[in-house]
Amino acid sequence: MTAFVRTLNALLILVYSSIIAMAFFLQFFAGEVPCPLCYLQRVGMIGVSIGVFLNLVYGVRLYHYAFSLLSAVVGGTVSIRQILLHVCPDFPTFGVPFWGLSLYTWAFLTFVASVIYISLLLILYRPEQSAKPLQWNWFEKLSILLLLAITAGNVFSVLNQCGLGLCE
Amino acid sequence: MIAIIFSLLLLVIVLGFYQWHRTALVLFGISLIISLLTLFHLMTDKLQVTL
Repeated sequence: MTAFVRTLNALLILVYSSIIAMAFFLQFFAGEVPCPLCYLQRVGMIGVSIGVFLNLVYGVRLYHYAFSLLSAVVGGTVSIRQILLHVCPDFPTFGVPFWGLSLYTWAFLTFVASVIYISLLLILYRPEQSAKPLQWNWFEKLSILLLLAITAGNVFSVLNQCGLGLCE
Repeated sequence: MIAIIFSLLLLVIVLGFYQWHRTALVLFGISLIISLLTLFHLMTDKLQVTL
């Protein structure tokens, strides 16, 4: 059961890392320059991933899940803010829609999905899972490496685009 | 500001590897608070532009 829950944790990291990798693809190959709110949504996604990453390193703890949920709330708030900015009729949307929805709408849907997913993980929580893991399997290593690369990539991307400012 | 948030998150991951659990959690919390403050700053900024 513990191994199963750890795999589900690694899966969440992998999914969010893939989403941000896609955003990088759109940024560098389709010319979609991210806005400040887009970057804050990435912060929320990386935050959700870091909460479950800590589960992989230190064993499953309730407060790690709490940090993931808080990050999802922060990211969801940013997404809602951007949706509301563009919600009026005849007001242009930001960026190219993907399957009929803007990227910030998709981001909001992923945050809602992550809250549901983490709630299900909390149902599966058992105190014996909080034992410190001995070794990562290849799937966990892959997800952690991706998370590290994506976070470092974002640091360089933001520094390149906005420096230490607010990207205004 | 956003670069600082991402740097903090990167630091949280690195500290996680090196078993600095509490420091990582504190930095994680700080980065989330800065994110919210940045969002509120951007919101009020837009409000001024609208008004």
